[in-house]
Amino acid sequence: MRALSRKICIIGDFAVGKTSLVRRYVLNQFSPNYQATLGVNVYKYTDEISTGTETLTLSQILWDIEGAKNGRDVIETYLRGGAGALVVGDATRAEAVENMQRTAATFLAVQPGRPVVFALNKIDLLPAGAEFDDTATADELGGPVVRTSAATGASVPQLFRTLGQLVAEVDG
Amino acid sequence: MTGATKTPEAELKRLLLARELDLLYELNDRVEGVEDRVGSDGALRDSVHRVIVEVLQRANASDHERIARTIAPLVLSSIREEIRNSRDMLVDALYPITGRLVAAAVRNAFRRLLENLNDRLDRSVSFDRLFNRLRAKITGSSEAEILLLQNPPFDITDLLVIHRPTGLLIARIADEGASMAVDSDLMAGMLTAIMAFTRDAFGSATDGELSTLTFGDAELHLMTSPAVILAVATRGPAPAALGTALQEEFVDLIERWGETLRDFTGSLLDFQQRALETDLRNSFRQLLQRKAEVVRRPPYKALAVLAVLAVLALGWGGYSAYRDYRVDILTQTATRTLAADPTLTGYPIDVAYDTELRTVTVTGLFPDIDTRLRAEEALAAALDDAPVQMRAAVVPRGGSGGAIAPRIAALEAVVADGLADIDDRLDGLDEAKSAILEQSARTAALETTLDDGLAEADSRLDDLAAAAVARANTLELSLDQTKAAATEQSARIAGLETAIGDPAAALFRFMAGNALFFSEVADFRDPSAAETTLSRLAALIGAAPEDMRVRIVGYSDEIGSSRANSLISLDRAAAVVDRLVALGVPPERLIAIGRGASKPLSGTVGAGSGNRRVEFEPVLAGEAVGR
Repeated sequence: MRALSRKICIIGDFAVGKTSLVRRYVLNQFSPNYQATLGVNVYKYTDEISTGTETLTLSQILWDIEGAKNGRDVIETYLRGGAGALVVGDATRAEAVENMQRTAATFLAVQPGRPVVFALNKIDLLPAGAEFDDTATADELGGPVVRTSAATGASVPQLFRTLGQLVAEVDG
Repeated sequence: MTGATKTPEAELKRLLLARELDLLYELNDRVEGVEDRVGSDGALRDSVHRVIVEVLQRANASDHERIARTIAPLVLSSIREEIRNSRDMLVDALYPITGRLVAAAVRNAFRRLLENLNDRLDRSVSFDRLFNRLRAKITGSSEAEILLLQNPPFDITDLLVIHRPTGLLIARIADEGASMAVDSDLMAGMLTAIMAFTRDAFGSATDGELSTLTFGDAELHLMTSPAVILAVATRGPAPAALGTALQEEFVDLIERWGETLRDFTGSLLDFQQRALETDLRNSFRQLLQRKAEVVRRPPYKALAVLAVLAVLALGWGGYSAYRDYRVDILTQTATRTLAADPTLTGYPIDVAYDTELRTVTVTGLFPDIDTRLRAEEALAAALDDAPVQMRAAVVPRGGSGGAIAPRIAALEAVVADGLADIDDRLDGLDEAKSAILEQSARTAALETTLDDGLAEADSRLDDLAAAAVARANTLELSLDQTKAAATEQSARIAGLETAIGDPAAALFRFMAGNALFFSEVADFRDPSAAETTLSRLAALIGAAPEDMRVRIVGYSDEIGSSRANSLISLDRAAAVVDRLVALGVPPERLIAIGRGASKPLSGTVGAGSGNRRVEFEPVLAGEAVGR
């Protein structure tokens, strides 16, 4: 089985749950207490990824990057060399989509042509019975959208594998 | 223009305009030729391409300055644009060159650091410093390097090559002691993130890079190019040479692998990975070897110098020990010899070895001159050929009151003898005077005879002159003897006069107006004159009241040390005392002292100097304790 090693950037506004998603994916842990990330945390997770043609081992070096706030952009230096980006938004915030669009544009300016997957997180906090039009959202954002909950673990592996597949296809 | 179209008009036109038509056809051919060469963009490109190099060469040769002015802005603008667009590639390409320059600068900086450290160390003094300096001489290292080496041991534990843009680990070589608790990929990612953060937070203004991370006694040395990070983990204080060694290894790495690593996409081909790891293992080994070579081996030159110094030190030490032993033996022998004489018990006598004069010197007080002479003989016998200097004074001895009468009687007898002797000598003097007169008369007669016979007896002149000279010498000798006798007689007369008149005043006058002069240590410059003076002084002292005592004061010129001059002047005084005692002066009436060069009569020195003398002073009433 072929092995790949790639840098994946986890970006988005502050307190949208980037670190929680990564910890759920890598460590299968979740803490309800919020601790802001300063600078960047680096994690590694090796997963088997199936593309249309092969299954390969992908070592994902996950750069959990400090969230942008108060209008400041994410530090671009951290984005350099990213094979793909996971843009995280808070599903409970009205401006989530707009903010995710801006964040994705920042990444693509540094790493043009790289795949971006969007995570609308904290769906466990949405009112029961809420309905979503993921296709419309994906069109609006320009990439696949996965609704996740780091708290419950819902769709977290699927989120990372979606990105992994795209990375393997584009950059493999 | 064929025959089919030939009409009369045309024929007429041909006849009338044939020349113009030919010209027109020629022009048409030329225009077509030009059209072929420049009539379209493609044709123009081809034409220019064929000649542009030659054109530029000619223009450059004929009008270089104008061409340069025209092209330079274009070229510079292109270079700037290329640098902007391919900055990382250019930096990588230039890194082997700039890296060496930086390495040289680092080496110079370390050398200056060591020089400064050595300079500062030179200004401090301690036992540890002396030890370190000796060790530095032996090993040929600088003292600063020795000090650095005295710190806990240093080791290289880990080496990581990281792709800088992605933070992905390319390769890692670690020794058994390296901590593998953290995943290598994570470590690479975090290091890259830390470096990026540091550069953004602090380095943007200075264009600097994070180069070292320190934790306890462990350090992580970071060297970076735009594409690659080389991280080397060490434990213990790093020696000064490490920075240079790492920089050189990094430059080599970039030279060999820069192209491949710049395009790293997350993994290398298997053969590339193996080759890179082999290369890194070699680098790791070389770093470990260079670490061991920080202390240079002692050069033979240093060893040779050390051996010569050791031989010299041994020779000097042996000579010093022998000299001390010899001095000790001489001093102890002299001390034992003096201690063996019971008459010296209780007298302050000191024996020392004068290293300047290389003699055994005896100082202090002896009970009398005889004891001193005896001791001098005993020392000469005991010390074989070793020179001995007696610089001891003789303690004057006092007499008892009941001894005055016999001494007066003895003095009267002396006076009587003296008077008789004077009478005899006066008679002798009269006879001598008569002889002188007779000789003078004879000489005069001879001269008269010679004058008379000069004209006729030239041939006898020499014989006569020689005879005359011989006679004159005889007369002169006789006259000197007569004068000496007269001097002695006058001394006797003076002694008798003073004995008869005021002897104390006569002695004072004599002491104030007379001195004895010396050529060398205790040798009279004029022994005959000295003897006359001493005889007269002895007579005067003998005639003076018995409670009058005389201080014999020796002086020296300014040649030699103060201590040596003091001893020499004391020897002169002692020699005078000895002679006066030999002439009958009771030793208890004499005190000998030496004042060195303290009271010069003139600025002269040497055998003819008046400063080498002995003067006489009355001992003050109540001055001496006892007699």
